[in-house]
Amino acid sequence: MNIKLHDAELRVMDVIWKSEEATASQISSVLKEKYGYSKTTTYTLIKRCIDKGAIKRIDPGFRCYALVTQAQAQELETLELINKLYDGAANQLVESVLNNKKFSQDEIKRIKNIVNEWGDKD
Amino acid sequence: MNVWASILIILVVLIRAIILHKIPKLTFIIMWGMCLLRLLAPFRFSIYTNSRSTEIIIARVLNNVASVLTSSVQKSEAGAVSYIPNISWPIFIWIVIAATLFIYFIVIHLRCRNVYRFAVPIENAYVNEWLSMNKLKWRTVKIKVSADISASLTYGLFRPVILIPKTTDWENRDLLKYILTHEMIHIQQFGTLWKLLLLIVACVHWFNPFVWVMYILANRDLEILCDEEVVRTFGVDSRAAYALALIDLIEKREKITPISSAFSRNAIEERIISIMSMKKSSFKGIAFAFLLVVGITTVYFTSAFSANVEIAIGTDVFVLERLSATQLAKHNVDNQTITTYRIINRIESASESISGRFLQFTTLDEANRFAPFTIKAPSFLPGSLINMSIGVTQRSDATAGYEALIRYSLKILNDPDWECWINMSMDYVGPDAYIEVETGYSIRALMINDIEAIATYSHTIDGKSLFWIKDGVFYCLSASLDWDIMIAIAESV
Repeated sequence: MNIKLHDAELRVMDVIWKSEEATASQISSVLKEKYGYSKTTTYTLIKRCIDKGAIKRIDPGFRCYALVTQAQAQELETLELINKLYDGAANQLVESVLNNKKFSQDEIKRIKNIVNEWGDKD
Repeated sequence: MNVWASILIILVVLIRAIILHKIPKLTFIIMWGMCLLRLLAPFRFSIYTNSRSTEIIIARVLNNVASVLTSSVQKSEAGAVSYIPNISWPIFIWIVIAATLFIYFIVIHLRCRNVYRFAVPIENAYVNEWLSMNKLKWRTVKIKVSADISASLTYGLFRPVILIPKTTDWENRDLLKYILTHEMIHIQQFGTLWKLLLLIVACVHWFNPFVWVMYILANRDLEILCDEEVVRTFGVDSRAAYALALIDLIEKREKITPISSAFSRNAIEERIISIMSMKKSSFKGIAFAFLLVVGITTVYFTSAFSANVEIAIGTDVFVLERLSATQLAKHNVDNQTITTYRIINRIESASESISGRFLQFTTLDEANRFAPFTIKAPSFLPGSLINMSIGVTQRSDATAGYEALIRYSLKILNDPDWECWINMSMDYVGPDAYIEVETGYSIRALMINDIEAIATYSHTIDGKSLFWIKDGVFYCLSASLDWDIMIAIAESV
């Protein structure tokens, strides 16, 4: 069984894989030290891993076990979410509403030519 | 719509279209800044000079929007004061849409921040070394790597973070150098703050298409200004390399995320041409840019002086105060001297010549909306009540002995197309009367019963008193000054 995990979710899995079993607070303190993640950030990630079936949670103590091996986990290379948000730049959002043309290969070539032409001038 | 701001924007757009690539890019940011100031400022700064002193009076000027929001003070029968907010339908719609836009952009921002929090501190030796060599004086910059973004970006005003996509080509040090420098310059130039201000203005003035044009172009100009600084940092010879690096980034991004492009074709082309046309700044270019900024500043201040609601008389600022119930002054007549009555007599003698042209309003609310200011009026007028407002004569018909004795008109001279008369009436209501003057239109010159009030010399001292001299007679309208002080001033002039 292969499960696609996000970059940040893999960091949670790394902690569990290394120690086979880890409580949520242990994971949180490791990720805080290593990456500066806040508690809520880590808990969000753990919850996502549980939802995806990568982690099994056992109470009491919120102990987490890995349900997948390191080999089974695949990194999810997705940029979908952020693209919908236009990287948070409202101006790009507005501009894209007005001018929704994509860059084709031809366009890029044309613009590269502009650079070359200007370069020749000097 | 803020007409002067729109004119400013059109000017800048035209200048931009003609000589964007010829002059230092900072020029445009300054000019956009002027536009922003014009759109944002509920306060206008005016510098008044006269023969005696130079003073800077911060004249509080209400623009249309603010004036409608001002609640009007109405005196109820019991003498208590009730505040009735004047919010009409158009204002309601304006607020709702502006708020919706705000919330929309805030939500987008928060969603992004929610994604950015998964970014991790960078572990690239080259980048860390670069950062240690390029520290900022006041703020600590963090560089993080995110798997969720497709182009590098910067966020955070006080604790700036540079976010670099995980997919970046970490081996390409030239590229890294360009990316990092570009983002760092954004931080140094407070790009985030500029963008925030632009966004706020666009939300508030959402109904003004010119503001949206400004919004888009100013955002582009921030990028272009940043590019200019990058090229300056690495030298003019690096232009082509930097431009190609940018294009490569776009090309790569388009490959990764073919669904929706955030890049506008025009914007990119403009940016590339701008980078390639950068030269060592010429004296001509700088001189021209300087002239432009001076010119735009002039337009700004011209507009500041002549735009909508400004209470200015001649070169001075007239009384600017909203009266609350407690402020309604009670006046005492006893210590006034004959000279005072001379002024009053003059007014009285011409009391019959009232102009018949008034602005008409259907309701009092509407009129008050037009006339949001209340001015405390002359304290030397004996136990009197002066009621001055545009087109509204609030004459008493209830109180016994409450009779209009004197009325005089103020002619607004500054606007030939908008000639109207402010009716000012004075009513005796006994010793406990108050004086209230309302106006909502700019007064450039003042006429009291065909006597030009502001003539050879006029001055306000504390914003509540007005002096002028006409034909050797010293006139003073004051709500705050003692008689002795008035005499002292009269003698000193």
